[in-house]
Amino acid sequence: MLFVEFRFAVFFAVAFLVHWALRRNALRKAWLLACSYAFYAGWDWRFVGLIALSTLIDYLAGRCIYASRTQAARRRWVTISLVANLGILGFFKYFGFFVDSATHFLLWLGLPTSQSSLEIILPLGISFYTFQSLSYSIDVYRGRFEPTRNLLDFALYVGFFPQLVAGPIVRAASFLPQLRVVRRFEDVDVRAALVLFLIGFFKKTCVADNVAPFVDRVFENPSAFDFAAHWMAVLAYAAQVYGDFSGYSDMAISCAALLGFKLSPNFRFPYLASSIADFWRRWHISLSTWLRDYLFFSLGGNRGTRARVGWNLMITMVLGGLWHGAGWNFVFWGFLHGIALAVHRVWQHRTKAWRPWPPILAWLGPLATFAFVAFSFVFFRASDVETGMAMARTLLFGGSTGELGPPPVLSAFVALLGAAHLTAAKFQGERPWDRLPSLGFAALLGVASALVLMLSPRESTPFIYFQF
Amino acid sequence: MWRSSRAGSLPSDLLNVGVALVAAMLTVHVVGAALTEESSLPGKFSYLRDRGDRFDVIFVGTSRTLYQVDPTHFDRRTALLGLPTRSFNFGLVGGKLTEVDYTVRWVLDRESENLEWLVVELNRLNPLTAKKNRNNDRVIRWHSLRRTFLASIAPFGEHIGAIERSQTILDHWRQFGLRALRVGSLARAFESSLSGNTTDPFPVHGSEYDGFVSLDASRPHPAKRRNREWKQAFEEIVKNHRRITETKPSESDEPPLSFATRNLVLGIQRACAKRGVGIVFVIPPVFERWDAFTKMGERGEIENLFSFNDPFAHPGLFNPRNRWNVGHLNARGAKIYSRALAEAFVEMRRVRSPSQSS
Repeated sequence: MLFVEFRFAVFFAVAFLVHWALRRNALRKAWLLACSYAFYAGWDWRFVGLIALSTLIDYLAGRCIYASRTQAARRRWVTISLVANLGILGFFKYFGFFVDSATHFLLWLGLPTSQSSLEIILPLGISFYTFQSLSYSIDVYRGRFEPTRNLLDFALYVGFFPQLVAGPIVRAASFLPQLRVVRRFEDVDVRAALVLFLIGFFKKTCVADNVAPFVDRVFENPSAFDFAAHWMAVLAYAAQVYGDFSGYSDMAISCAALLGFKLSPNFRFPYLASSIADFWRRWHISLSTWLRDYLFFSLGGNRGTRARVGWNLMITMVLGGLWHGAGWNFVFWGFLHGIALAVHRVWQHRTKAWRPWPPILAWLGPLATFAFVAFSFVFFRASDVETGMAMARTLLFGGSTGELGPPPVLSAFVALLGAAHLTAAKFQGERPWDRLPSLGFAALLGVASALVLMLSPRESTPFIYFQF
Repeated sequence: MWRSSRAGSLPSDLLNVGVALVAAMLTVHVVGAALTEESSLPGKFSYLRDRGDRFDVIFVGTSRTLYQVDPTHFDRRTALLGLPTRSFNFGLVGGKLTEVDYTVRWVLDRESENLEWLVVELNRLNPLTAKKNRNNDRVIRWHSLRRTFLASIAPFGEHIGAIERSQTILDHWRQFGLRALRVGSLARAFESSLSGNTTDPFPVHGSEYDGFVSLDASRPHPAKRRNREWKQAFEEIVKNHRRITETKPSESDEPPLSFATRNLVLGIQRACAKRGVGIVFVIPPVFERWDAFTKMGERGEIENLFSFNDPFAHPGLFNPRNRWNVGHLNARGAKIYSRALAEAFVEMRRVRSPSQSS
């Protein structure tokens, strides 16, 4: 069930109305949990048990860590949680990848292999809810908060449907306290939530889904397209992946807000980042902070020599790449970002004396960052490293024999999106709709919704991040 | 409900929802005026719109019309019999009765000067839509309020599960919403400007195009390949032939016609009568008992009913040599069928004119 589907509108309307009609907090939470599992069962009911298992493991691990008197016992329980969660994730997401990679490696060595034919279905959103659930055990282990006694609260924290399948990855410290208080509809900022949903819907359907067919055509058969079309496909994909994922996040945050919950923003105009480090503070914020807090800091973080910090960054980004998908192209994408972050660190250190930058150089940062990010997306989108490399060669050195150029309409559309991104960033935080009377706001919302629907293709493509 | 942080009342919330809906509908109306439905119609429609005046008989129906009624043979036969016609095949593959209803009204709305007769293939309304066609222009297009209502009550007469039934009903109303709000109309214009023309499922061939598509010409006849596919098709034809010839009407498990089917059929008849265009209903050779339609004809509810669904009266139409598969005739079968249709048509015309009919 996608947020942009009609059946989600019906589902959410029922969930919303019953939720606010119920008076008791426990009943509301039970209702939301039932809705969440029903939402997930809409994709494949067999995997609802997997979420329940993940929930139970970390609930018990949290309780046991807290109850343990010795550090060794605490460590034992957090290890059990880590092994169980990463074991589930590893089996469902990476089993095929590791078997294939091992087979290729043995073949490369000239050793005989027998191909495994085990086809494993990737449960929707497993990377998201596993990381979310895992962060709870680690935080309890680190003594950040007391584990909850209430299994219903914890199950809802793991399975809350607006963010279950593609984030944002919510921290228990920010979500569980919200479950303890009785929410009032009067406290819901309905206007902001509706506007955010419409913006998210626009990003997903009008931006991502409209450029997707051209991007698909180029990436499926790059040799048919010329140099300019290659670059246009890269720019269009940058727009697609941002529109797709930030659109999903906006809609998730909006749905949660309409149910009275506050989720942290997941994107903050990432394509205007002044550096690659700044980019990761603006892109998929919930994942980048997760990787920082639970992986980068665990590896030593910023402590140690410059080489050691660079190594930590590299490991974090490579594993971050692998989190996105079980493929060497994702590993390579993470590797590129790891290198970029390490280089940026050195650059930052060496150019301390040059700051503040002259205005012209201040523009170069965002441009170079965007160019790198868009270029690296080639490996994110390509089906494998070889295809990505071939495309990257064309992008850098030209030489495509293809004759098909970029459609002028698309070039204009992408330029328009760039301008819209800049304008939106300039006015971020402003709430012009607050100045409108109720009926004026309703009319404006109606007009905007109609235009967005007319601009949306009827056949929506699945969210890119659903595959992760 | 539209406040940022202060309480409102239910009536004001409902008023706001109403205002938003009205504003949305007005926007759709204003912007949609520039995007006519015609622009998204397949080539067959545009052809008939531009050159429809040359035809006096138009066949409307599904693939059983498209692949089986050859206007060339029909017109030759009517000319031979002394009542010449110029006919056009407006069959659409996979068409449902609701789409047939849409097509009939679209043809009538053209107010063609020469159109005298519509020959409409009868079919039970199948409310289910194949998953791949759920967002198809063709399916969305016919979802007017009336047809959506009929399509969404039709599942109650079918032997389908409760979940599938509710999904079907929901889907029809979703498609109604897609049409009413013209969802995707601007995106479609954008996409076609990116990729050039979108694929036309019914391309027009030549200026003397008559709408007919021969299954044998588009794909080799399975019999010629003598492969397993044809063997299976042959066995199925023989099995169905035996079933239809051995089943008496009283033993038939044919369900009664649904309200939706009857309403659509009678609505088509009324629409033709209103425009002064003669109507002929046809039951094609289908290998199933469709006696419910015959009974409608016998009761006088529908006029000019031609039934070819009788292996004793029309053995050639049920002969495996003349069939492409169990559902359709091959080119030879189409020739026999078109001639038989022409003979019945001329015979009927000798007794009544279109105005008498309507």
